[in-house]
Amino acid sequence: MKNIFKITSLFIAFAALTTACDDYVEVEPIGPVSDNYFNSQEEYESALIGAYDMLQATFWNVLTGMIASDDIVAGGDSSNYDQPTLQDIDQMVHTQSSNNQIRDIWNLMYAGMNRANYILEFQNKLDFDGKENIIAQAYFLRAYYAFELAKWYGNIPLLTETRGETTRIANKRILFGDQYVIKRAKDVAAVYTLIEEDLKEAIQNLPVAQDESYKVTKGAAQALLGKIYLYHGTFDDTKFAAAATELDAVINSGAYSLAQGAKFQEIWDLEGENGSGSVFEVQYTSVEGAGWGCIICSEGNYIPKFTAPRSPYNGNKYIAGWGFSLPTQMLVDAFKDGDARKELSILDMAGENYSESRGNTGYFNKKYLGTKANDATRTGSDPLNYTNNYRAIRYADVLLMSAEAHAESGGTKAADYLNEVRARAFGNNSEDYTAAEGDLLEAIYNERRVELSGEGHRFFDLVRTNKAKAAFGTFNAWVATQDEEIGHMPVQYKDNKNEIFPIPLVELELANAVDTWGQNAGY
Amino acid sequence: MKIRLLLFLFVSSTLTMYSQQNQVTGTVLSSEDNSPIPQVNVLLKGQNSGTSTDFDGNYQISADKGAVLVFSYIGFETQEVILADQKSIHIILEPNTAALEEIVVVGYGTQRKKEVTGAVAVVGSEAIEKLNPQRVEQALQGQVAGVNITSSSGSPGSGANIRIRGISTNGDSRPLILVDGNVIEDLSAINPNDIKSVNVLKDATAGIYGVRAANGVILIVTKSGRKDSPLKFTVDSFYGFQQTASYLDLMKPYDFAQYVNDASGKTKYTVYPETGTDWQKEVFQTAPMLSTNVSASGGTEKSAYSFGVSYLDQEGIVGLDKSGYSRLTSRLSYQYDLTDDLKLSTTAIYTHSEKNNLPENGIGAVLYNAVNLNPDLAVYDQNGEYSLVKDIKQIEIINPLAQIENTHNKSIVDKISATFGVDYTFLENFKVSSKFQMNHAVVLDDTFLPNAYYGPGKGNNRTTNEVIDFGAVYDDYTWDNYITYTNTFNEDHNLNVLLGTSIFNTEGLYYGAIGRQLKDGSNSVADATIENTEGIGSPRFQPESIALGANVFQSRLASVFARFQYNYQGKYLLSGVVRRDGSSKFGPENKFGYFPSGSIGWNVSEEDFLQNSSWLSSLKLRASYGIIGNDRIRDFVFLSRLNGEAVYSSNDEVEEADLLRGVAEGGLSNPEVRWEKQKTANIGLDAAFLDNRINITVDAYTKETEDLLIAPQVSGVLGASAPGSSAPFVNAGTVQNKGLEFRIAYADNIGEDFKFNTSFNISTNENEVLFVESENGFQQGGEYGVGLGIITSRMEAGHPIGYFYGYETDGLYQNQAEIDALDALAFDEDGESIKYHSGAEPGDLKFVDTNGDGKITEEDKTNIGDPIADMTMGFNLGFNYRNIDFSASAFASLGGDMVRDYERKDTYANRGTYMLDRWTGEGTSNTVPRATSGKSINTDEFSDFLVEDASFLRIQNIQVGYTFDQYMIEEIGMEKVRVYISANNVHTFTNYQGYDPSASSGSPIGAGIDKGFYPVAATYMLGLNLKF
Repeated sequence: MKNIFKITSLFIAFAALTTACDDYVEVEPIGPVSDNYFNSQEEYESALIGAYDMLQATFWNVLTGMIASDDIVAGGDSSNYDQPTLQDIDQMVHTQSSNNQIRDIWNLMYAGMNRANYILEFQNKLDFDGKENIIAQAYFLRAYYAFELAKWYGNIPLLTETRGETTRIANKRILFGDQYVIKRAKDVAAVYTLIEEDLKEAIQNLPVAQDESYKVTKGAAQALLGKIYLYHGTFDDTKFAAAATELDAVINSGAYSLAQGAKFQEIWDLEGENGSGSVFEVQYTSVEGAGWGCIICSEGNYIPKFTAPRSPYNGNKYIAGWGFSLPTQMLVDAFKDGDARKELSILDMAGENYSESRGNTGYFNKKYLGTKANDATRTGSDPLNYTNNYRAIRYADVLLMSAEAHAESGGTKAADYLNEVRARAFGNNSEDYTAAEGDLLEAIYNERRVELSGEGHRFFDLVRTNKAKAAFGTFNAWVATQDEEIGHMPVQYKDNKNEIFPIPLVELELANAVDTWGQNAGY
Repeated sequence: MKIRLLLFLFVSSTLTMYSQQNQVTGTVLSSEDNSPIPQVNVLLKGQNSGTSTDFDGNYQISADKGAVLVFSYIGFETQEVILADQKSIHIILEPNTAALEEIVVVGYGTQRKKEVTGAVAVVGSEAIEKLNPQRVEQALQGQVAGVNITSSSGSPGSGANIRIRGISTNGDSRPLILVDGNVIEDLSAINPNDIKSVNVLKDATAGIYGVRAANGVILIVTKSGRKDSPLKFTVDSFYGFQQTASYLDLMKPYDFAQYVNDASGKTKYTVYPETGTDWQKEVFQTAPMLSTNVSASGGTEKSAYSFGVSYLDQEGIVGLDKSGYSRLTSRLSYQYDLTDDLKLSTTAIYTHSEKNNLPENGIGAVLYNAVNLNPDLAVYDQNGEYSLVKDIKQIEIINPLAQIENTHNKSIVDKISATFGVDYTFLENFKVSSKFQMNHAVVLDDTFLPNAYYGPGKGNNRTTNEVIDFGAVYDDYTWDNYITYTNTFNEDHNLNVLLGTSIFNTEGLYYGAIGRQLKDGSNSVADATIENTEGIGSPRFQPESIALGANVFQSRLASVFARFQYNYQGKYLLSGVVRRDGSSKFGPENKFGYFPSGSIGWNVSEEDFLQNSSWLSSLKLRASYGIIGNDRIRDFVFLSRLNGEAVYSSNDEVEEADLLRGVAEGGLSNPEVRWEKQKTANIGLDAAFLDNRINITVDAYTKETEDLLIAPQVSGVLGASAPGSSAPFVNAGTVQNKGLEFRIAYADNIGEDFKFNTSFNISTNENEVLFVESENGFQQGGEYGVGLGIITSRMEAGHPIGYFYGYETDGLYQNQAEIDALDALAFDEDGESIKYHSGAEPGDLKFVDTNGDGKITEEDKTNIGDPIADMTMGFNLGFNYRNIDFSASAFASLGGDMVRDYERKDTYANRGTYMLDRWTGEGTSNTVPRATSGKSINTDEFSDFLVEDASFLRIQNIQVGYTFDQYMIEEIGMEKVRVYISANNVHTFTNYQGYDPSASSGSPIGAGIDKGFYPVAATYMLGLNLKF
């Protein structure tokens, strides 16, 4: 009897232990879980920082965009092809299997969209004063990332939904499983329409001035909307008028001005960051160490090292680097005598001691070079994080975009805006546009080329104005005159193909979309 | 014969029930040292009665004439004596050497090998001693069929990968390792000298350990004392030196200069230098090592104890102390019988180790620099400083000697592992056990990055020195409670039932600080502390990220299990396990899994028809089948956590702490994630012949891993490329491993003085992916080259996991006409004329148009090899002749491939001498392509030209020892004095050009990419074993 009792109690104890076991494996994670967030204003703000963070990854877009253009050749070390994928893009021989930059831009911009979408998905969870401002910033950021994707890949896949009467980009993250059902937009114009809706909504709730310079303003949203209308105008010329309206709103807001005189001289320096001419700027800093393990984890800019002259360069102001992204002689020649921008944009290496890059032109892009001053305070691995902000939308760009929109839509301000930009560059009105100069639109295009050189816009401007083929033709004619030893290669640009880049094959495969999305034409 | 004996006994025991009982007394002694053995079971055969010997080995029993007394004790041969008229019977037990009497640890208990039904292998302390390993893993290589050991580094103290029966998951393929029941993930903490036996559970019978046993289980038992034995000391010590086992064949300065001119198509060298630097010779040095181990053991009537301390100090063959390792361990094992029924046991191992690290494996590694640096550069410049590498065309290649000097990285580990157990026996047949095991480890990683200049444009140049002190604290515990019921029914039915629970908790915490610029402009490692830096030592984790859980982890397991083991007369064996595992790694719906396994065995040699065989000593057939769960994935993958990187700048920060910190999603979640299941079937046989002189074990297995847990690449639209994010874990495929294992051992004596033993084992493994749950039908990983974005490896149905996916080549293009002819026939989809093979020139590799579409495209890539060996073999030989003992072992691996990826493709980077046979014009070569500089299909595309057969045969160990005669050492109080010389890793026969064909890298998809492994050193030792 006693034994039976003993055995029974053992089994009872065992059963109790077993039950207790089930609770034992319920472990609470430390830190918040995404589905149970947005419980305070601070949490909305925190998620917004996450959405801003991906802007810093756009250095790839800028650098690659520069190299894609006719004004800038890839460069790099002299006899090898460091970054062969960039060389391919330079020559427009990239394929759908070229994975480095073309895939990074795809992945990182979608990641940016998802971070913005995370806030938009939960925008109705809590109400508080100032929420509209946060939501509006999220819409702007989603639009910015989506526009980058559209510039590179055309009619990108997007989740959409109908809100009110309007088809909108869905306010939800693209979750695992969605990649198999997400559809490509009908065409790139349809993508622009969707992005425009986001910006219209953002504009309603953004203030003209924010409490901190990193935050997007109403002017930034209007400028981006105007820019997208301009791109949209390639497919639908009624959009030029809309572009003019939005861009004029920025101009007329009085919030921005072209820096003049001494301020003009330092617009590309640290002192010139977030200046009067900055409509939207991507913020970089070098106070956090950066390592090769995760370059995009850095808060710093990668372009400054990438584009500096190769050692033994020992300049007074600028660091030595890897010698990528070289302006061509043709770009340098596009600056007229007396144009102060030439000195601000181009580092002329005549008489300097440095290692020539492959395809050496003797010039470097000055706007985003790393400085020795920055190097002294910078932490982490040498090449990775410089503090140079990327001036994503400058007031000069807004003026020129508006000038173009006016010229395209019969507006009256085109020449005025163009002249405002020129006057600053030359310090007087001596170079004002006159009919003798020829087509006003051409004059504006040429002004964009010099004003915005080395900022990553040129290739996309050529594409949207249908001038790429001609420009690369000129480039190839120039290459033919060059000493073969230098290593310049002709660009194999093809119409109806190279306007946009291929969706990386692996991305088509991973979404099971080789057939449903299809590859971009020509690839 | 035995049957007849049994019958006789049965009859006689029935008859003698009424006969007179005799009192018998006696003493049981060990033949080893003539000491009395306590606790020896003395049983009356066929009756449920008996006794055991006391503290002095004495026993007393009443028995009838004709009764059979059975004397048994673990580790000794059982003896039977038929009682005649003696009143006293003294017994001398022989330690059992027959394999079948070996005690095998099978999880929550032991079995005699004879009764084991699973595929279990045992490596005893004797084998370990012969191999003289610094790490336990080295003792397993070549010893156990089906166990493969690889290492991604031969630097002292670095870890090794243990793979049991192939690669079954592309996640974590590590086996579960238990030391005295305690989960030990890192075997570096264990001193091999302390090990009594290593038991490897290879098949589904490992399922008793449930979760994490899917990759097999390694049970390590440490040495313990014996009750009632005198205090004995042993001292084992050796001193040795190590040298690199291989040098790469690199071009000499003269050939190099020619090559550079050839590659660049320009006259870079007008004079071909005759002298220069052999960077490998500069970097590799002869490194000393020493090891000392002292242990003591003994026991009293109620207790047994064993303790020991050991010290290992090993410098590295690269950079000596800069890659050196030292380890201090101390160990205690203690058992105490509180009463006859209540027994306590405890063990504790404390380890302190320090390991210095040099950059290894890939660009930026010391060896990578030594291999690639131009050989015409001198070590020192005119000022006696280390030469700078001034030519920018050597991207990120620096003087390796300067690099060694400037590297200051030390990892310090303090770890304590302890176990405590209670066994309580009641009602004769029941035993309840409670075992608690814990590990506590503090790992410090201290780095000083001094200001240094290696030449223009080098990423390693530094103008602000940094002190980086990282730390981590790891804690885990396991608590097992179980009841065992053992009984024999009707003499023939032996039953053992186990019912138990186990819980496991593991957690950790990371911390650290980074300080910038030592005070007073110092650049000295002596001043390098965080406190002594100018910059505020910014913490490794900012408070915001700590709150997000970035610095901690925790996971738990809870399991219930039951096992029965039954045998009929020791002939028919049957065993079954059911286990219910719960893991915190899965979501609420999938937390628990049920995993059954079963096995059967038949001791054929116990049957009548084989009883009298003169040649067959034993024969057992066995089979097992089972399902084991696996949960080795990141924590909380079923939840989407906000631990991604989300830091932005407000552009006016001066300190890292001022940055804007937000939240973003970390690794993508998959709420559906569920247990990975491994189904293993095994059939095997164990046989012994000619009086156990020849032993054979054969096993055949298939393992199918279903619902494979992997984090595959996912579509970029999901945002997994964001910093701090990663792909979700999904259950995504099935992998099959099939193999055969065969082991034969032969041991014999020739005359009195000559004893020998030899063994040979061979294992085959065939790995095939059966199914991949991926939209494009494959998963990929691994990378070739630097910054090329070339993915090397795939997991795809119909191929081995991680096979190399690239271009097949068929010789070289010999002339332009050949290329033109191919171009003439090549068209794109629109019918426009295109290049057949874009970028190809005479002297380049001719890729094979595998899909026959008339052009070379991405679609022509195919299977060009795989890193998994088809076959591994181990050879062991040992003999004793009088006082001399000799042992040798070798290991071979056949059929694995390796990718040669340790060569930088820069113009001024050195190359292997194979480039001397390069194509220099039509007909000069059809195997080695022309020298190129810059973009080239030869170097920038992944083709089979870069894949080599990495088969090898390695002489692992040769040892010769001399044991002094007893009479010579007795006077100095010694029981045993042995000296030996030993050589490890003596020579490797291989055609592979890299340093180490046995090395392995990366995860299963992406293994076998050789970015310049730190080779395993050849080691020569002089050693001493003392016992007193």
